[in-house]
Amino acid sequence: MAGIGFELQRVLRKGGLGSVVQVAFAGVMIVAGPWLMSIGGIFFIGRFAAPALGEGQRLFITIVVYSYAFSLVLFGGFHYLFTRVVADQIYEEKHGEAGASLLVFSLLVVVVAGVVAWAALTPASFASLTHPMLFRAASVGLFAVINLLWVMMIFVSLLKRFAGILLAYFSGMTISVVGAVVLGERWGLGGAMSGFAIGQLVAAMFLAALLLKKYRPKGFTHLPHVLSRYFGRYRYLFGSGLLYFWGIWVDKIVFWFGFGSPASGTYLRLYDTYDVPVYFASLTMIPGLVYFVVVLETDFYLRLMDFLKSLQMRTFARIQERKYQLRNGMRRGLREQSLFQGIITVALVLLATQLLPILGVSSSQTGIFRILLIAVYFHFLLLTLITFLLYIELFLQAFVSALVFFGLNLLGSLATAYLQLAAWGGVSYLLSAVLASIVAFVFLDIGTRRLDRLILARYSSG
Amino acid sequence: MTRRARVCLILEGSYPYITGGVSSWMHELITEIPEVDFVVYSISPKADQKIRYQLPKNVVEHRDLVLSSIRRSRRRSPDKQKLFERIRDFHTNMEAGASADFTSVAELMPAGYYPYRDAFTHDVGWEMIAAGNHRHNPIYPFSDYFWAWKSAHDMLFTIIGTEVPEADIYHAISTGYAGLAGAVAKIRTGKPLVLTEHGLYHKEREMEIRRVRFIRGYQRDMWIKLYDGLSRLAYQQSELVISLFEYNRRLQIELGATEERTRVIANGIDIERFSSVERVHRDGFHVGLVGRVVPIKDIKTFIAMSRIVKERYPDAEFYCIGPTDEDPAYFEACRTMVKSFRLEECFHFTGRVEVTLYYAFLDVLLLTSVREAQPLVILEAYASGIPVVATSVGNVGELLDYDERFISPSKDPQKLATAVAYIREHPNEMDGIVARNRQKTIRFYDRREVFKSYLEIYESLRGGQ
Repeated sequence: MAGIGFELQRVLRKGGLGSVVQVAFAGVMIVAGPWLMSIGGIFFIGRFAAPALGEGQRLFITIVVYSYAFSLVLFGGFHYLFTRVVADQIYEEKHGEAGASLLVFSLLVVVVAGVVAWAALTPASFASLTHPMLFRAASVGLFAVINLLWVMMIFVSLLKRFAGILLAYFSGMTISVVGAVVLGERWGLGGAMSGFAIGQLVAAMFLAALLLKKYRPKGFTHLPHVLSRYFGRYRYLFGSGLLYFWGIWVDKIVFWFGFGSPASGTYLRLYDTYDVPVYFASLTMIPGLVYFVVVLETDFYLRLMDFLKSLQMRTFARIQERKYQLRNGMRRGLREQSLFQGIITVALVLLATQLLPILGVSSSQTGIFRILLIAVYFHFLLLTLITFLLYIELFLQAFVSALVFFGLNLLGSLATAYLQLAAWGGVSYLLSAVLASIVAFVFLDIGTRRLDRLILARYSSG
Repeated sequence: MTRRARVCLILEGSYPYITGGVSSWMHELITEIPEVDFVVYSISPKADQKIRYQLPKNVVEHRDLVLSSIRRSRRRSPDKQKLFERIRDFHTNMEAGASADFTSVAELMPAGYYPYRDAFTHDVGWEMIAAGNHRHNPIYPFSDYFWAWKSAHDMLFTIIGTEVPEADIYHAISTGYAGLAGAVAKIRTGKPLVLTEHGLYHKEREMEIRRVRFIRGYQRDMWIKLYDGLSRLAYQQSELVISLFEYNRRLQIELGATEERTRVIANGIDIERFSSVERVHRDGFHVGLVGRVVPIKDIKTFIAMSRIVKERYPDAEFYCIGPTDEDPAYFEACRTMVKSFRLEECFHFTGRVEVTLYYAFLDVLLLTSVREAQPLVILEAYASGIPVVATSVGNVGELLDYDERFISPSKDPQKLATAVAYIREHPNEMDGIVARNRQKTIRFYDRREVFKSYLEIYESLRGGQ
């Protein structure tokens, strides 16, 4: 859904530095809103409200990290499937149904996530905390709310009101920080977690209000039935979402249990030596993501629409011309985006030694950080390629690319953990991202070359 | 004890779902050859049609292939690249009017494989479509060409991909899709194929295509070429190509049938039944048409002619003898026409009746069809002792001894009325003609002889295996 990209381009066309800053800021929040909100929240809480986390800062961070990781690992496939449902409903101008789908899906996700989180935290003991039940309940709530935020993210790109989006994230983060401080002082870590979760909830509710205003729910949507129908039809889309997110997290999870240590009172582990560089390296993807949303995705979308129209009503020669333009534009866009992101990556690789101390990371992690920077570069390329594959509905190919990414990362990280090669952390992530990108690129190249017949085949019976 | 022969009759758009000349003939063939087991393999445009005949006991299997149905492939081609290269060569030869090698195409397309998508997603197939589009449709939307190509080919793929029933002999009752199914059966099983054509399938389709407005330009040529190609294929693959009369046999040879493999077996009628009709005189002048009320019989021309005849002979009565339920809209239009010509009192739609009751008193039998092969009603009228006026279609000329007084072009009510009036005005001369025609019919058009010929053909082909 390339809607927001067009809106941002419109702002950009006004010209001036103000427009560029506005677009850059809005773009960053749209592509990485919840992500930055959590980082900002934790940063500010850690900086200004350390006493609130006094009972167990590591436990707090563990719960936040696990919430983000497993919300995507468990529900990522459904996000892809649900995006398709909503895209179809909006394409058919059934805005009321889309709104109803949002409500029902949110409700389902919150309930299922709540149950899963409760079950997952059952073996954990928070006896050392002053308010263990509150902490448990707030952790469960946080997991449910983060899932809710991802659902809102699916719709957010459809909203043209990016000022509202920014306000939602900003108010959410502020309330998270203030809530954590205020409630943390009173009820310890349980209070801090509650405050943090409430802030996230406010952001989610703010976004929900914006969305439901635009997509006022109408009628009854039997979403589980719709989802199961879509699952039958788009199982590879579901699979590609699922495996893509598994691919992202699998090395981290393997290293948590291979090299990491548990948060007190729980079986939940973290491996700071790897997690912290990963966290910072991942942030370097944000400029590329903004570039993708504002430039590459919109350009690809327009060329694809042009091509599809030509397929319906133009001569064969004109269709081939549009196909050539699509392929050419896509290749040029990929090149430019890769160059843009590449400059950032190379610069950071070169400056890693100077950068890490500023970020509070030990210089002994420079090697891993550099590997991770390059891995994130290819990971971003893979994400772009998979998105394009999904645009042209090559779901099986997207699934295979995601499978390569996940499979190789799993095997590589298992080998790393088994051989106790902690210093090699990030290599499996890098190799899997590189190889999966190659696979996805080959699929995309073949797919766009044969796009005319593939689309005709899709609309043909038999 | 020797096993009974099993003959698979391959029919398209007729028996047992549609009544009419070919269907009646088919039903009689099965009934009159009880020593053979028949498999009826019908090819229908749509599913769940009502069966209009009680299938005789010697029909041991009935299988219906719905042309519009899209089937899921259960098997793959042993060599797709080779298959599409063969299909490309086949097209090239067909377009050039040369003989095309269908055998290797059918061999590379096993039963259960339907290349609806492979045909254009495969490189060779796509290049073939692109080249065809470049030749025939370079300045119009490609989608027009593509969907026309696809709709034409999907039906062929359905036929070729479908498993044929087991049989000792395959007998196609037309070329077209039935002929194609017969050719596929022959190639897959190695069993002989016989083809009987009542009309000429490709000519009939061509007439239809030229009449409809929505098929134009290269699409018209494409469909005409397709049907010509299917006929050519059926002629090439058949051990024996049977036509009802000599003119059609010559046309079959022109389109590729080998002369030695062609044969004329005229249709016959139940001589006993019709020659025993007792003629009775009834007051007035009675003109009848025996046939279904459908456009192809051109009942409207009959009504227009009736008006002219009625003006000249006020005692004239007209009978449209045959089922009216096949095309209700057309029947309604005919009734409106009768009303607007003020013929309600003298023009009668009888519906489905025993025709001999009418043959007993009709003074003239009229045939206004725009298309026929060898109309049996003429022979029935001859055997019953009724003079005939008919349009110049199919084998009518031969049956009417090319006598211009009784033959009219299609859709010419004035000429038909003139011929009818001639019969009324020359009763003595007509007596002689009627007697001659009666003798000719009894001698040459006995249906028992026809079915005996078919039994002999089946036996000889089975013996040759």
